Formats: sequence, C-alpha cells, structure tokens
Amino acid sequence: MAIDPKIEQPTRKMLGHAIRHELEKLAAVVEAEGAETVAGSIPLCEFASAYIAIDVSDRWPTDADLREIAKAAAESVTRLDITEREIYEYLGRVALGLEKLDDVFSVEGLATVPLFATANLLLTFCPADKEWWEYLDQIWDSAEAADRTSLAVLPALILRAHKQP
Amino acid sequence: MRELHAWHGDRRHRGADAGADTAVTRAHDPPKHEALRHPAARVAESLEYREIVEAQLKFAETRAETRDAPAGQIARRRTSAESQEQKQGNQERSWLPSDKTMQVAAGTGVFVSSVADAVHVLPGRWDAVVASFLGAAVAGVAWGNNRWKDRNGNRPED
Repeated sequence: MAIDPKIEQPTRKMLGHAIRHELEKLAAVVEAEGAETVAGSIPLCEFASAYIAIDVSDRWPTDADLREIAKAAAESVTRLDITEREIYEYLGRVALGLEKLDDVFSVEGLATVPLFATANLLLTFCPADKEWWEYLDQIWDSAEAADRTSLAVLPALILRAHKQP
Repeated sequence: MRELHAWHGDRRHRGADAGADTAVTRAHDPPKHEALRHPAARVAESLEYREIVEAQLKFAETRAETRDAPAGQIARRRTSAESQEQKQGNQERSWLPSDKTMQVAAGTGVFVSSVADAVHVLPGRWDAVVASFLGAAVAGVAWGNNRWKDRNGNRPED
C-alpha cells in the first residue's frame, strides 16, 4: 500500500488530536482538510489498525485475540467515544475482513470509528521504547516495503520469523 | 470393536457348527479374542479402551482451549495507563520515510556521475569523487535524521 504524504500528514494530525482528546482541534482539522482528505484517511487507519492487530497477536488474529485487543483498546486513556464492540466489529469485519465500513457502521460512525479505533490501538499497543508516532512511522514504512515486495518472499519471511530466538 | 463384530460375524457365518468348540477352531481364533471369553479380561480391556477414549477427549478439549485463548503477548504488549498518559501528551512529528532519502541520494549520485561523463566537464576520476561526496553527504543527512529522531522525538507538531 503506497502512502500519500498529502493524506498521511492530516491523518497523523487527526490521530494526534484524537489521542490527546483535543476534539475541537480535531473538528477544525477535519473542516479545514475537507471530505476528500478525511475519506482518504480511512484506508490508512484501516491498514494501521489491521497491522497493529496482527503485530500484537503475532499471528493472524483469532476471534479471541480480537476480543482481547478490542477490550484493551476500549479501555485506553484517550476517553474517546468508541466502544469495545465497535472496535471488535471494525477490526474483524472491516480492517481484517472483507466488508466495507458503510456496510457495518451507520453514517455517524463512518468517520469516527476508524480514527478513534486507530488512535486507541496506537496508544494502547505502542511498543514501550517508542512514541505512538514512531510506531506509526514503522507501520507506514512496512506498508511501503510490502507494496514493493513480491508475495514470493512470504515463506522466507515466515521462516526468518520462526527461526528468530 | 470392529474385530469383535468380525468375530461374532464369523461365528454367525459358521451357522450350525458355531457351537463346535474344537481344538481346530480354537487354534484359528486370534489370541486377542481369547480374552473376550474371560470376564476379568473383558473388564480390563473395557477399562483400557475407556482410558484411551478419555485421553483423546481431553487432548481435543485442550487443543480447542488453546485455539480459543487469546495470544499471550497481547496482554504483554498492552501499555499501562500511566505509560499511556505519559505518551499521550507528547506532540507528534512528521513521517520521515526511512528509505526515500537513501533512494534520492543514490539516484542523485548516479545522475551527477552520468552528466559529468556525458559532457566531459570533469575528468573520469573527479566525477566519481563528486558523486561519492554527494552520495555520502545525503546519506549523512539521512543518518543525522535518524539520530535526531532518536534523540528529539518530542519536536512540536509541524
């Protein structure tokens, strides 16, 4: 997945405001950037959320994994208006699944669910030695690397991961 | 169980001669079937069979539990509330794609070298020196960026 810096930068700003619970500033960025940019941020949020779910599960997440992840993310200190159930549905059906966001959530949830879920996931599962935006850097870097890499290297990567102590 | 049925079937097949328990027919019965004629042996065999079935059921249940349990590292990866609060307040900074700077450096080096060769502005040796210098300078900037990222992660929002 190629990351467009024109979409990535406002997405990062929106995530920052969401994480700090700066909802007025978040609304201002959304208004300033316009619907097209906000719509463009949704696939980025979906990718980041899916990456985090796989990263913390260390395998393709099972249903039990998703429930555990959603529970932890819903209890994040961000105090964002998103439930465990919404995060679970978003992860399982949209980010890791094949359904579209508007098939699963109502119009009100279309913009907030991916953004709030990603914000909570980033802060909850950010590695101890990294800030949340450094974890986001890692996610974008890997998205671009994966985009340029043939799926033929996947067995070699799995083998490398398996052999790692 | 199948063997038991087979054995009974064999007896039924023999029909009228089924009751004839001669030395010849006993010699053809497998030794395992001998045990079925003695109650103690039958009980022991039944208990053994039950143990096997119970062990198999237990194994299947354990596997199902393992499959349904969340991965252990999810809990380990979860950041504590205190740590989340510490990280929450810090302002983000822009994304610096780690590989793009290096691609630009390599590309620019090749470009300078090719142009210098084409127009014969510099002797062969010097254009290589310039290209190497430029490549090294941009690589140094990339390295510096990474160092800067490591040390000054709290740069205010761009």
